[in-house]
Amino acid sequence: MKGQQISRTAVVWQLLAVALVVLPHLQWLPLWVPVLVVASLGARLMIHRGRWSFPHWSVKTALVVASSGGLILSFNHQAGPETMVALLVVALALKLLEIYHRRDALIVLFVTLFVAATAFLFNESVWMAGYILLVVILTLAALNSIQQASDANRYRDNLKTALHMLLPAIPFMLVLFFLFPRLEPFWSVTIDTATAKTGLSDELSPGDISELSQSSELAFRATFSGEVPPPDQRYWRALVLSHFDGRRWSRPEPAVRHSLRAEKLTPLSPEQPYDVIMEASGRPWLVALDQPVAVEPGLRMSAVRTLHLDAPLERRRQYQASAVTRYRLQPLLTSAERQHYLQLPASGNPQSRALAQRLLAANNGDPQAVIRQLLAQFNREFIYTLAPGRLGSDSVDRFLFDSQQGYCEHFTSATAFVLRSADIPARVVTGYQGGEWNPYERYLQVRQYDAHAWVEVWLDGEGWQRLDPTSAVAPERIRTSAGEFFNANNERFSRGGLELEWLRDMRQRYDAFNYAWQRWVLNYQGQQSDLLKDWLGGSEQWRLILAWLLPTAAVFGGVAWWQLRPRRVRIKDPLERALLRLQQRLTGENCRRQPAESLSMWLQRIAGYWPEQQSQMLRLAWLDDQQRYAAGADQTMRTEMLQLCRQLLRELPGRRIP
Amino acid sequence: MVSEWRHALRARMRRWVLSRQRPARSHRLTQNRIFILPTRAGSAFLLVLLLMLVMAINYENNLIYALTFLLLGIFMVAIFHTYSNLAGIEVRVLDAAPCFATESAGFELELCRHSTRRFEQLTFTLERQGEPCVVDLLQPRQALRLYCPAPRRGWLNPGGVKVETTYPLGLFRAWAWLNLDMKTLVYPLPLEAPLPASLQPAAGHGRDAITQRNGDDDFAGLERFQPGMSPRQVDWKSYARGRGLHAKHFAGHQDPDLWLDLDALGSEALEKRLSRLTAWVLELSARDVRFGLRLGQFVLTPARGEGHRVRALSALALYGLEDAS
Repeated sequence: MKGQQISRTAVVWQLLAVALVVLPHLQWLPLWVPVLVVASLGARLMIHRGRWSFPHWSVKTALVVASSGGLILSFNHQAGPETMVALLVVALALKLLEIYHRRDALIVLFVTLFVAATAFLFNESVWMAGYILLVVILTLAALNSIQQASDANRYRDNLKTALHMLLPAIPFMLVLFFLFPRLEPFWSVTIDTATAKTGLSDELSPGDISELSQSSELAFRATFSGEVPPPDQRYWRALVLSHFDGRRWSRPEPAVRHSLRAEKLTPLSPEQPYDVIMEASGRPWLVALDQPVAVEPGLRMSAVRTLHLDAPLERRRQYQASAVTRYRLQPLLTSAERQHYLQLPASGNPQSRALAQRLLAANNGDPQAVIRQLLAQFNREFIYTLAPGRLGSDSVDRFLFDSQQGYCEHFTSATAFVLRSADIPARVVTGYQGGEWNPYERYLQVRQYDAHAWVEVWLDGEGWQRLDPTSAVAPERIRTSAGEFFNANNERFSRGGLELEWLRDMRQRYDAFNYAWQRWVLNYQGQQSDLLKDWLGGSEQWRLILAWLLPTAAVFGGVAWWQLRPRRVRIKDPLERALLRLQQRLTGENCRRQPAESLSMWLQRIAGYWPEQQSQMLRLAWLDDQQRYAAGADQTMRTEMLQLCRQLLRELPGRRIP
Repeated sequence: MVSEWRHALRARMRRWVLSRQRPARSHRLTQNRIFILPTRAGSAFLLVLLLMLVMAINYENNLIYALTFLLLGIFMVAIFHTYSNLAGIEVRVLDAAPCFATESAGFELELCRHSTRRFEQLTFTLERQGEPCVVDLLQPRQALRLYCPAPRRGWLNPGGVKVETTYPLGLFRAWAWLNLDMKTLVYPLPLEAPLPASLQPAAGHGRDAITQRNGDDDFAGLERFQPGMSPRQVDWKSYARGRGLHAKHFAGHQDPDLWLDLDALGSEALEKRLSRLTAWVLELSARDVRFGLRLGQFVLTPARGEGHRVRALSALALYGLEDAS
């Protein structure tokens, strides 16, 4: 096997497969690797065309030493997947220069397949999947080609064989894909994607969320198994910020955070289960619909009912949770907690503090009336805008008394400040509000521009209540999604051109497709047990085995039949076909045509068995000799022969042994 | 140690497989003859798949899972493709030509396919060594010749024939052992030596003598020409007159017959004497001289011609051997 030379076709296939498999990796490999690959492909092509000869061993050694050095310098001893892929790509490039035999080619192609798999570590789109499928087809064609004779030159046959082998493997793959249990990773790995992600930060200062409103990047998608909550109930909480330093709201110190009691929740409406696929955010928290009551194991719920992970979310993640939309949360506060939610800096924003006192006095200390009056004021005098302009120090004062225009974070921050000044416990919640409903795949899609901030206020006897000052100043923002809202108010909110109806429809369809891809392919594992139970009517071991065995047997039975099906030699010439049928008809003991007999000898020998047809048979024999050997044979003879043949076939009884 | 053990296992298996078949002039490759196992490349492929699976598990990457399963599917499909690259072929013995010891005996086989399927890269190997022969069966029929080294005189049985293929992907090897009924005679190696004087056809005999004899009147008559007679004996005149081919017969000048006698060659080693006799048989046949052969009890009456030569050589090949059947 080692000694077998490979054909020129095989070399071309291999170069093609290697070139294509390296292509998707080029964008992140250090520049010298692509240069090496291109140089090596070029050199191999020149060798293939006979212009150059194979490099001397000293050249190869120098290349190996140089590229090892390059790898060490470029990757600096990191042992991540990038290093591994770079190493493999460099090895491929160098191995290309010494493909002589089958074994060399096999090594190249197996490494090619492995590198093809690594492409999915960096890009999981459906396009990449299609592209890798193409690479697999080329690699199979190359594998087939190296097995052929070294003078074989049949590109089309290689491709046909590759497709013939690939197609039956696809159903096999699907069955295994859906049934194979997903195991826990053997050791923890991280992929350094190294791009700063946009998304919520763990603080809130003026301008943070309006910045996010410029990004249409996907934040997460959610599906509901029951009823879909109406738009004004779609509050996705991510963080609770209860510490204010005069400008910025942030989470309390970890020590304080841990001292808070887990808040007690009494549901007043049924639980609503839902599924979220959250995009990688690079931050260790998830979103949950207000208010989460149950989450799947593996997620932590904090004291203030937000979801957290142990490590930053570096990969897209799917999780399940359920929520109640009406509830009573923590009806009693300890004095320490009350202290905590009334915390304000010692000084600053004097006008706002004065306003709080005025409101409190005007409403006889009734917190609900204070809130109503504050919101009414927002509704009358304030403008909701993405471009509120800069606020200096004492940002709450500047907002409330000077600019009077702002985005949700301005309203939220000011409301929380005023309430705390009025001795009403309050805190800021950040997250997302709304989302776009995709009718094709029936899911809610929430983008970064849906980021939102609102207030939770604690009322005696009722506990924590959601209070969204934005709904007072721009109620349509809450009722519709942020995308629609900005489109409708295009003049006021400079967010690029108006989206056309059909363009939006196309975008939604494309998005639905991507979503299905993510839900069914990329994140297929969580729903596995339920889905299989539905499909198979149970999840016992034997059902799984049967579900795997039956389709697999069907597929391979099909392949075996297709490969071994009788494929008769089809004779195109009608005369030849008729003569063959005549011979097949006359297969009796004595009249079978012997290998040494010519057609005319055979006919002459057996003509005597059928006295009635004797003359036709002899005529046929004579004609056959004539048309084969005599000069001036023409088409009329063949026509006559054909007629004779057909006549004999009609008249002679089948399989009668004379 | 392991390789020895493997070798022994393979030999045992081969003997078992061959013993289940009756030797025949033709065999068709069917499922009870064909064996299939992964090649080394196939095992390496599985190893690559295993690494890919580990990668898929570790990075929790479903697309790598899918690719791994796809390639596993292709691996399985390859079983059927490799198998079908052998199944249905008919192997037939066409010819087994005799040869001289130390040469290689050639066995001509014919492959037939009974469908339009293409069979590629079939490797034929004889059980008893010999160069493998790789053929593509793209036509309905295809002949191939296998050579088997023939170190000794006597019957040469090349043993079973192995047909194997790793086509189309090289991941699997399908093979079959065929017990083909083919054996051939190996003649002793001719040992060139001048004919001793006692065996020299007298001057005026042999080829030159015939030319001289044309002028003689000892012409005894015509006999019907048989293939193997020298064209010099043909009576061209009668042929020209349209009376058919006849050979002149000179009865009166019957030569004293030449006898090749094993015992008369002294006390040299048996094989050496046989080799010498072989050389002389060839020489005398080439000169178209009548000769007889005496090998101990065995006597071949003097004659000449192709048939006589073959009988003489066969006798020499088998002299003193057990399986002289």
